[in-house]
Amino acid sequence: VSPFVVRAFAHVHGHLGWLAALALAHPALMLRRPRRRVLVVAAAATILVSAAGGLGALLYPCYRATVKPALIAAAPLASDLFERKEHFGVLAVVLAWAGLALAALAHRRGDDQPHVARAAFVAYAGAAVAALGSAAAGIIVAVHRSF
Amino acid sequence: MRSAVARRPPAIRHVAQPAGVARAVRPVAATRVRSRIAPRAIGVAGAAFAFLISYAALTALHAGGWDPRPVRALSSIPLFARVVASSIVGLPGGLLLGWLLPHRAVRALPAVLAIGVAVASLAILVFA
Repeated sequence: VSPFVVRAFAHVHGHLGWLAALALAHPALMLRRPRRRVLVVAAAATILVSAAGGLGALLYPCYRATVKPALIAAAPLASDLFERKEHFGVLAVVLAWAGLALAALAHRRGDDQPHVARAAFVAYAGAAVAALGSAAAGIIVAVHRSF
Repeated sequence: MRSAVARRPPAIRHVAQPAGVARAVRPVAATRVRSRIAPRAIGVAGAAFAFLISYAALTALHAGGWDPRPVRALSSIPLFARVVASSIVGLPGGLLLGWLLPHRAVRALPAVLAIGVAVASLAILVFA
């Protein structure tokens, strides 16, 4: 893959990551009221964070081979931050899918609906915080070194 | 001999209820909708919790240099290996929890999920 394409993918990944962090906050805010219907925004946010995560996973082997050694040598703290960034990215994707499944279940009527909606709220709030942390760490790392 | 005069149907007379007579009302008990979403919700949240805890444990083990051999065999990249291993633990774990736990456990799901998120975040911040 040419460096130009990798750099373009990294830019798209960064922008998608920030968009996903903001989008994940939307269902979390809406789910503060358990009776609200959030399935569409929840699905959109989950797809967005999955796209950002998928692109990050595609870039990761290339990053490990080309950028990481130079980053460790130049800025070890930024390298440590990147390690945390990728883990928080995984956390955001997993929590978003769990939140989407719980929001879909909370869409149905039943005595347990408020409890399930609250669990979906916790999942989306966690996903939003994790995605925000990951996006912020990504910016800091990109300032030091990128593709 | 039958006459050909069409018979008029009898007029329907609306008899007003006398004042003070209450209509008989059948008491309706509030029916509780038996939830069918509880086992599935427990399964989903249980799977997420099992994933988060196993991911935190694998992250801590990796920091100590004690990566389990089956996890290392999954992928040469530790991050991917941990994700796959945690998914392998989480999905059947969630199904098992959804099958085993009683329906009332659904009330604890928000707290359980919050604990899972906190443990995984702490493990990432400290050990990653």
